[in-house]
Amino acid sequence: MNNIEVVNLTKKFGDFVAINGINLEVKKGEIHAICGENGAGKSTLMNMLFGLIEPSSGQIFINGEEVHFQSPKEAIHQGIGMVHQHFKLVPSLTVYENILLGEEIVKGFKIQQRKEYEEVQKTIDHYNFDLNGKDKIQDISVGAQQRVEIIKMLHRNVDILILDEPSAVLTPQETDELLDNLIALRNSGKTIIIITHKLDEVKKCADRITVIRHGKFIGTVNNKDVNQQEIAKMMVGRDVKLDLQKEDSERGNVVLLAKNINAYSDSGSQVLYDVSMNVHEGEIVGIAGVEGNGQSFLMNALSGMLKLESGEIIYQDNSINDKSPQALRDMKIGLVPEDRYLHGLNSTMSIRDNLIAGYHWRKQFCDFGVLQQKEIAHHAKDLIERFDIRNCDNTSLEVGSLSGGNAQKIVIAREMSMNPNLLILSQPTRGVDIGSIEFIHQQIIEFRRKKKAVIVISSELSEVMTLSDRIYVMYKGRVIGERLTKQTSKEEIGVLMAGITDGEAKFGE
Amino acid sequence: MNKKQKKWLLPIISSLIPVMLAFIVGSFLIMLSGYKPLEAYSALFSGALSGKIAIMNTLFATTPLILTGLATAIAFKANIYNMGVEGQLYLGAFTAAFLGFTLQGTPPVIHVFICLIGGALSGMLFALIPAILKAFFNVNEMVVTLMLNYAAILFTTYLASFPFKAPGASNATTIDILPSAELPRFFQGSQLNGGFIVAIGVFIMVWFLINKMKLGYEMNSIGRNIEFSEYVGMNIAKKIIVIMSISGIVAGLAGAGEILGTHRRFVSEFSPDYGWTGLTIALLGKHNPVGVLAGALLFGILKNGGSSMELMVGVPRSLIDVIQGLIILFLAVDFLIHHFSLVTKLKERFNRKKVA
Ligand SMILES: Nc1ncnc2c1ncn2[C@@H]1O[C@H](COP(=O)(O)OP(=O)(O)OP(=O)(O)O)[C@@H](O)[C@H]1O
Ligand SMILES: [Mg+2]
Repeated sequence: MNNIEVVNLTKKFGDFVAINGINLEVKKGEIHAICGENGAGKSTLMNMLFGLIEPSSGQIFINGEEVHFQSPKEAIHQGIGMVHQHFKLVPSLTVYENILLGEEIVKGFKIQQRKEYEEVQKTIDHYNFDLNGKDKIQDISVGAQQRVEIIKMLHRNVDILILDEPSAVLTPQETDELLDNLIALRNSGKTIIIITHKLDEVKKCADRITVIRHGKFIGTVNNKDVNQQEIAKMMVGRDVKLDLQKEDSERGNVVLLAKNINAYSDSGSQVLYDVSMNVHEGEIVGIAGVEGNGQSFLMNALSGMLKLESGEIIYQDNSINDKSPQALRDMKIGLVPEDRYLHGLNSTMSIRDNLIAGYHWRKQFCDFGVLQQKEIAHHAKDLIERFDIRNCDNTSLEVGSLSGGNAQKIVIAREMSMNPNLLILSQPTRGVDIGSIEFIHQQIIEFRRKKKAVIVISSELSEVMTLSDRIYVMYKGRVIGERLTKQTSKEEIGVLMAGITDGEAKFGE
Repeated sequence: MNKKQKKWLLPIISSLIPVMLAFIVGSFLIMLSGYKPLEAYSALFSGALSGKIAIMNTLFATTPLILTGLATAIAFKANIYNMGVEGQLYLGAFTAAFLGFTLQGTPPVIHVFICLIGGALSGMLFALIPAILKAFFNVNEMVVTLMLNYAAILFTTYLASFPFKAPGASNATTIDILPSAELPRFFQGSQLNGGFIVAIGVFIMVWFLINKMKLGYEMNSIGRNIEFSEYVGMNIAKKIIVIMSISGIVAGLAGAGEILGTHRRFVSEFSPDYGWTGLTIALLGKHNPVGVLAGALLFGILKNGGSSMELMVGVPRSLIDVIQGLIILFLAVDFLIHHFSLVTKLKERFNRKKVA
């Protein structure tokens, strides 16, 4: 029997058709993966099921009954829960308080704390989740916070659970735990819909897969009947190279050299310990590591946002220790930051204004303090075409209305178009679809071909392995290993990422 | 409706709503006092707009408000709260008056320019205090600018009461400025003067600055996302200083214009809260120069039409203050909604979701 049936559902934003007559059937007790490129309409579709967005036309049936949700509350009442990528938890409250937020158990004027805790812990234990109801949100890991969001829904007795890109914020280990939890939930009879860009996750957990493209239904297939290559092809509409080919690099001079850098965070704890690294012309250097082991701080130190306590960063024979971000850009260092919407883009500014940010004072765009609007518009059109950025014909629209992958392409296009000598990218393809990942990776390799230097910081091990010529592994604020990609394996790097070393051998210099 | 139209329309509608609400509530108050709202309002608008003289007087009332509105809006645009426009206006006014009565023998046009520039510079220097404190010591500019208003008002009152008091004057005023420093009136029967031209000139420059110049782009960017702006290399401290300086210049010009065109000497506490009205206008105009112009015009109409409403219908002029107060109230409500709840939260969720 179908738990959810969607018939001819359509959603328009103004003239733009985000969802175009989609039909979807989700069976009871299955894990159903939704795949599609950035901007295909996955989130929009799910938000309609959860009552966050109202459909323009079409029908939604839950257990055979037609529904018209006005709000998530109504959806939850009908047994549909959704976990968004951005958690809505109160950090200073405990797990159980968060789970019962808005549904406190009250007797008279008093909240029954003991009872609350016991009830929540019962749910946690019932589903066998690794959580303690009395922990504060601010003290637990991102993975645990996500479990809180899931329990929050389960505690409200939903039997359909929707997860929008749940693994985007998780470490590989946490992702595995999550998938195990989801499989266990399915086995206990829940229906699960999961949106993800990572096809290996799809292969691991899904029973059936629905692919949408440009807002249209492409097909639903059984997981066991397809391989990753075929799913990717359905998503993109053409063959996608999942493993990238690149010729050997011809290394030139050292472009950037970090010598024994130490740094402290704002809160006063040391975050970088004696980090040394270098990158040469025509080389891609990867920084691998489980997220939170100092990579973000390294990025900040390299991009002039974090003051060094000691040590030195030398770029093309000049020290850049105290250089401002603007000075670094002048020296032809391109930066693609980790947090796209905080540092990479100005969400409420237009697409075209975002495409010149940081370079807006250059002669090309700015003459005697006056912006050259024509040139700026032309530049935007040009980049959108060259970088295949979708759904932005009108470049005066806000960047925030683009889907995640297209927004990331804006940042990458901007930084690459300024033709830097060194490009530093942090999490360059987070939340980006498979076709765009391929594209971005090709751009990075093309860059290397031009004898430029690239540093890629990524918690995605496979990304580091495919792109880099040489890899540094970070653990607890230190570089604990350096390997040539050709002479190492995923397994070896994985072991290093866990902090296990025995006898260091150095390469490079 | 296509998206481009919407972009224009939404802020206009959301600015019109508080004004409409204020007029509606105002009409109830008029009814309660036993008058007919329609009659009162039509007297208000015809008093302000029918006839050449009426229109000129309305523009006269609008003149300082354009400048104080722009001064506030420039800073607001970059998310800097210059609440010190009133104080900067006073310093600009006094400096203009001082230069106006001391520089004997300066040729007429040049004298006016010197006084305007002097007024602008003193407004700027005064605005630099909170700017430097904010840029280099991270001191909240809102508090500093607010406090400095009192300092400026008291200081200029002192100057006009003791060292520069006009001999024989009964209140705290200076002697008259020299005729060569006066901004000329255009016609007899209206006080409209060259200050209006100054205000329109400043409006055009500010419009150009915000919409066409690099600095305007940076103000916009800083106002929307300061972390981003810093990351892409804007020197925030420097920009704060520049933006506050420009804001202070415009505020100083507002004061100078009033002295050279209207009072022709410095009168202590001459401003009927031009700075604060400018703040309301900047909010009403959504920090947009054209919006500020429209807002200033509305307040000019209210001010000028108020007396004919009193004269012809009998509704007390203080109703105008009530309407202005109501506009502020409804604006504040609108502000709260926008900044602390629904709209931003929804938007945030929408954007964050896409970090995907
Ligand atoms: N509120 C909105 N207003 C205008 N356009 C929107 C709005 N929400 C989404 N869109 C557009 O609808 C399309 C589908 O967006 P959606 O967020 O559903 O994509 P997605 O498949 O979830 O992509 P991603 O994988 O990048 O998260 C995009 O082109 C997006 O720009
Ligand atoms: Mg999405």
